Amino acid sequence: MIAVGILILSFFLDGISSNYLMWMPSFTFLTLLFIYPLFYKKEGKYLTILVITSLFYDLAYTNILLWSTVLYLAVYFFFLRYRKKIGLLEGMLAFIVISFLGYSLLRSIGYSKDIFLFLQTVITALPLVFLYEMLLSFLLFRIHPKRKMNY
Amino acid sequence: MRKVKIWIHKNQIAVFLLVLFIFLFYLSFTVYKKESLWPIERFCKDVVLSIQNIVTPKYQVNYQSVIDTFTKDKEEELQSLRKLLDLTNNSSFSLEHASIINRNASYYFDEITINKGKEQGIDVDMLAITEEGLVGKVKYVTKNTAVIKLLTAQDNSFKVSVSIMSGNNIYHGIITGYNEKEECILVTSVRGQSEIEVGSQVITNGLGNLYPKGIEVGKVSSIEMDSVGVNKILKIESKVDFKNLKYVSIIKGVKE
Repeated sequence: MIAVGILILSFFLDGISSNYLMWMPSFTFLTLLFIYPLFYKKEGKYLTILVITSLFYDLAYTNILLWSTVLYLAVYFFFLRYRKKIGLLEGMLAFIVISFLGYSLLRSIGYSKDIFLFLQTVITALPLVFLYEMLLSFLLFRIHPKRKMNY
Repeated sequence: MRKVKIWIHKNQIAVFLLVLFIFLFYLSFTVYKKESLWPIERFCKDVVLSIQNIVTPKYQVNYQSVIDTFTKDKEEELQSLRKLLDLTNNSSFSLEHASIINRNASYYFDEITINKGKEQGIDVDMLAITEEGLVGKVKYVTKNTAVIKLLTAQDNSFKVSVSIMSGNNIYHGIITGYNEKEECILVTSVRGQSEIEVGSQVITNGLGNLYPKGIEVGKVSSIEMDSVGVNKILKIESKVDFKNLKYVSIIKGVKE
């Protein structure tokens, strides 16, 4: 329940921070990653939360319905499912993967941005990704000290 | 059902490619062709961004400087332009000032959402400006919010007719894109024989009755011929800092 609370806060944080940061760390996505180990053997429940959150994210922020849903599900099926422990490095790696996936999809339909400017944006976002991961791991560790997570 | 599951399992790659193709088709349609938000999107946007609007700081718009963009400072210039273009002064418009409450990260921040919408008289295709000049145009509108596509967007849907004031001559062109490396607006369809100087002012010309005339776009920073060698491509340097926008003004109403 607390995990869902953090998820909702991250959702609004994403919206508010977009006014100030030109290199979004995607707080909602990172939170979805870090709460994954709390749903050990409850994959169905986790997937439901993932789909609902990403749908709301698209409805409120992206103007492309299913955009985040597809990206988040791709990360889940090709990355997250094979890792039962999510650490700081895995989180950063997943952030890079989802950024490149989004960039590739938009580029494939001709909505292109300069690759170097894109890389610059991703690299600039990494320190904040790291800090937010630290905060998440601290909060979740304090709330659920017995869970099997590797920080 | 079981047979379908077995078939999917056996043809995983084919199913994956099919889903990817369908999604890319849908994505392409949404990015380039989607004209309005779905009702559920409008509802969610209104609810979520109304909550967000409470905690987002409101910026005090420098009303006078925005108004000056069209009236005092530009009046003399506009009068001469009207004479040259033989246009009558029959346009009427008002400004709706709004704070930016969200930027769309999915489009690399090329879309912004403001805290004014249909209830305040804002509609699709209206122009957004700051005191520095043209910023973009309204793409979607909900009850209390509006999404503005910035000039920096890459989808080439931002076609606004402009006039280039070079000496005593006026030439016409169309805004067709943005060069992000050089951070300049691209104006094409300018006649190849036109004698345009670097530094010439570029303003909207109101042709087509869709937009008001006289809004500053920027100044010509470089000129080159297109690949066919028929028309010129102008690079326009805008004074607007697209990365640090805090508020915009929407121009409501055009020619009567």
